Amino acid sequence: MNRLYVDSVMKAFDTKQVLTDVYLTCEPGEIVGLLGRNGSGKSTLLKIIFGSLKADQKYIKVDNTQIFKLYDSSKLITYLPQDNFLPGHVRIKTIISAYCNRENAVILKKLSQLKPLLNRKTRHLSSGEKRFVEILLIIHSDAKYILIDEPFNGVAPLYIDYIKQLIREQAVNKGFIITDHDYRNILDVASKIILLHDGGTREITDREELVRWGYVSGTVNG
Amino acid sequence: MRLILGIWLFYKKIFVPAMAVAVILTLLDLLLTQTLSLYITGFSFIMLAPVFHFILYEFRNPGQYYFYYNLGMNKLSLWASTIVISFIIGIILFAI
Repeated sequence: MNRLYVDSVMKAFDTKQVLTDVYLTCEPGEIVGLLGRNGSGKSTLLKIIFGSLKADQKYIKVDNTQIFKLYDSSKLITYLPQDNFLPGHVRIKTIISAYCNRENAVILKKLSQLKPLLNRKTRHLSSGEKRFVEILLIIHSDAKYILIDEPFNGVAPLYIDYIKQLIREQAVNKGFIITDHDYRNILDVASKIILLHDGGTREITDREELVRWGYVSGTVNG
Repeated sequence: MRLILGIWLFYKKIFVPAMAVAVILTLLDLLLTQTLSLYITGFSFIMLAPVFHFILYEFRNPGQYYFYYNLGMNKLSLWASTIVISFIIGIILFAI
């Protein structure tokens, strides 16, 4: 089956059991919005799927290949962490060449928003510029499944709609799992919503369910 | 090819400060002994590169590991590349 399959993920930090009963799938063409309160384990789950964090127990498969550790997910999954991760000593154009195939590298280098930054080293960019570049790189990477942790955090409102549009375009051939505290943007871009609650995942089919599960208060608009 | 570029980008950050300190130690040795010894440079470099790896990546910028994880490298392979490349450069300096 052509999909990312995540099941039976368990993770505890000291005595606190963060993830107990996680099940989710993501297929190419799907944008999964992962919601949850602070400390519910969203970032932890993404890191476990990517392979950079060890789980107490997990069963993760990508297209029938079981993922045990980070090296196994190479070229299948890329991950955008919450914090800036670009090396400060490298120029943007070099980073684009490292991350993207030739076709996507040409697309990125022609973007009007990126052109002025191409010859600059990332340490000379603002946090918002860095975040914008990181999102573009991850979205345009070769991987089949893209995990994105808080893509809209620190990005200028002007770019948020643009990023959502790019995600929709790239989701034709890729699967996305996105988490962000700006749930309205997640609801807007996602084709499937998963709520992390009490260590387990629940698929949300109706926006009012978010109120019932206590993720948002009152009526959910928009 | 992209893997090699990734290793190069990773190592470049370690190479410059490690080599700078190795050269300074060599010059100090030159002042003390009045003989130029590239053995000191090579030995210092082999010892210093892992130290700078630790300072620059493990201590100061652990988040940057994700840049290389996304290129298909893990922490073990990055540490191995630091040690192997530093050893090769050190051996070359011994041989000169």
